[in-house]
Amino acid sequence: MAQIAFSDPTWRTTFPFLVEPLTDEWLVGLLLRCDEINHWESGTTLTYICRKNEKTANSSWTFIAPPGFPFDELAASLAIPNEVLVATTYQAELARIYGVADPHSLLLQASFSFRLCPACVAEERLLTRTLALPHMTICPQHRIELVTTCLCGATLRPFHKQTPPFRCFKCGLDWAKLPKIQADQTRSQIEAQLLSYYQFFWTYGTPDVLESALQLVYDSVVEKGEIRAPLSDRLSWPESSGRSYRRTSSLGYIVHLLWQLDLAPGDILVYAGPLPWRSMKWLTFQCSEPCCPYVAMIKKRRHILKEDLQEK
Amino acid sequence: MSDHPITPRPPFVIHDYFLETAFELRFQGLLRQAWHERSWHVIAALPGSGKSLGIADLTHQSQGYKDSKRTTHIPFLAIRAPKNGGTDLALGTAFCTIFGIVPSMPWYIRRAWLVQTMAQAGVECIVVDDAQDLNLAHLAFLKELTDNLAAPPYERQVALCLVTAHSGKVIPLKEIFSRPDILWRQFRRRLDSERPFCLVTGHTEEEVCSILEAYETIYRDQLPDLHLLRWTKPIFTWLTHATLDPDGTKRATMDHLARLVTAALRRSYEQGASDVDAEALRQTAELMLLRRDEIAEIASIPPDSSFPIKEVS
Repeated sequence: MAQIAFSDPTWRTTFPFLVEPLTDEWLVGLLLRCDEINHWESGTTLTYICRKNEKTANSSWTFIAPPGFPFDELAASLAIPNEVLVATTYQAELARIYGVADPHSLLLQASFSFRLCPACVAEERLLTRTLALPHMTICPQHRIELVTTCLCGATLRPFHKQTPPFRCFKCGLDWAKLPKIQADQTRSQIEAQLLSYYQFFWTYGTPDVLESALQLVYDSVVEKGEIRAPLSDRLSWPESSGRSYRRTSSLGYIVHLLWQLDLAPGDILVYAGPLPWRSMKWLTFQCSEPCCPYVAMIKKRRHILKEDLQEK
Repeated sequence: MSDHPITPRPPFVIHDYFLETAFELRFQGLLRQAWHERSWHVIAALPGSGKSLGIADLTHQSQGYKDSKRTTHIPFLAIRAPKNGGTDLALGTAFCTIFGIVPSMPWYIRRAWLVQTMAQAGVECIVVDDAQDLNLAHLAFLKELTDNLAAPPYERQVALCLVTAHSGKVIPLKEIFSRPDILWRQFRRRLDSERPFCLVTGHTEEEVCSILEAYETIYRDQLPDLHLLRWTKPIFTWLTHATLDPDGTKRATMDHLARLVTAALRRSYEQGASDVDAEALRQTAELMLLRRDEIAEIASIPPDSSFPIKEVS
């Protein structure tokens, strides 16, 4: 963002002190940092932005994919582009994966509890978007357990009136001073795997890829002959009212199933091809043709994916 | 008779550039010195001298900025005193407005917020324009604000310039600060010991001459043969007439000078002249001096409305 000079008309329409999103920062963290730098109590920025927009004034936000959130109001008040703000949520990613314009947070997970990494807060006052991902209990950067309750026993809340930002609403303890407990090695490995699934969907996710993932899960369950988790027989697409979301179609649930069934992201991508024999697993398929175009395509896709992952 | 009709001249354009006049040099010099030395002054000048323009210019020069990578920096903070009295809240609101969007919050919180914010933004000099409109509650709040900035943890000494319009020999606020109450004695003590009350005078004839020279340059594109300097003496005489200089300062204010010159230039321009003549100046001066209280009756409809009229759907 360029400097705003006093003579610039934007000066009058922006907050006294400005913040811009850090790398992979979550909207909640950005709002709290805005409160903190402006010496406001926690939730002041949010309340101001939502009050300006009557439609959203009484809404409650999950901040994962907040439909109708006044991004443009906040962007104008911080003098940053709208898309930079949208990138502090999973709205764009979920919209692409599920092929809907206004995705609901239920598409990521059925329920949500606020948690944070005390080390991230101590270092940069940072709340990352990964905190909003289901099944994540460890900070991928610091390898410490995410915290959901304060030392005083109070459940952490992102915003609370008359409480300074980044502090417990009950005892006032700075979140940076919450215990930093080293995470279990095995659990860390599991969550790294889960994160790779999410990363895969953020990068390649489309309705087709999602459908392939579900098909792959379904076929794997059939192949193994055991159902270890409830599975829907078909993908339940959200309706415009946003009330028909099923737990079984949420990304968090699908990721969990993929992990349970030990399926790699590469398997999904390969499965997403226009195969005529969709119900058969590509690994077990043997084509009698000497130069099968589908096998060649599968090889090509695997190669591209491998290269892509190596680059990352 | 010529076949080609004469192309009408485009309308006369008034250039409202900020001129660094002798008054502005004196006035801004005082503000700069106060800013540099963190001293407190009451600065008075006649209405129309160019105080507000000088403050605005200095504000732009002070290089205040908002930057998300660094912070917000407002070393020179200028506000206009709230009108119609009001409480300290009105003055607090005027200060808050300078910073941009400030969500509503209780006044007791806003008081503390202002101190924190001013300290963080690196405020070094506070200027209150139209300070003659300040009341006792406002002045008490100013003292509280500056005292809190000077106290730990901020320990920030700030300059304070109360810029007032005056008339005659009376300098506003001087009487208030002479009162025996503790508050005013404390206020008085904070004022600069050498020059607590300053009166910035208007322009001498020589200074008017240099301003006219600047006008010649500015308006030469519209009046190519403009030669204003030769009219310095009559212009100065008109501007120091008792009607425009009731206090008998024998100085000209920028507002009167600008009005006289631009009106005369416009008159000459509209008559198709390429220079201003004595008659145009005399007629304009006469309007300003002798017929300034004349009531103009507007009874006819303008011949040609230049504003497009649209029906509201």
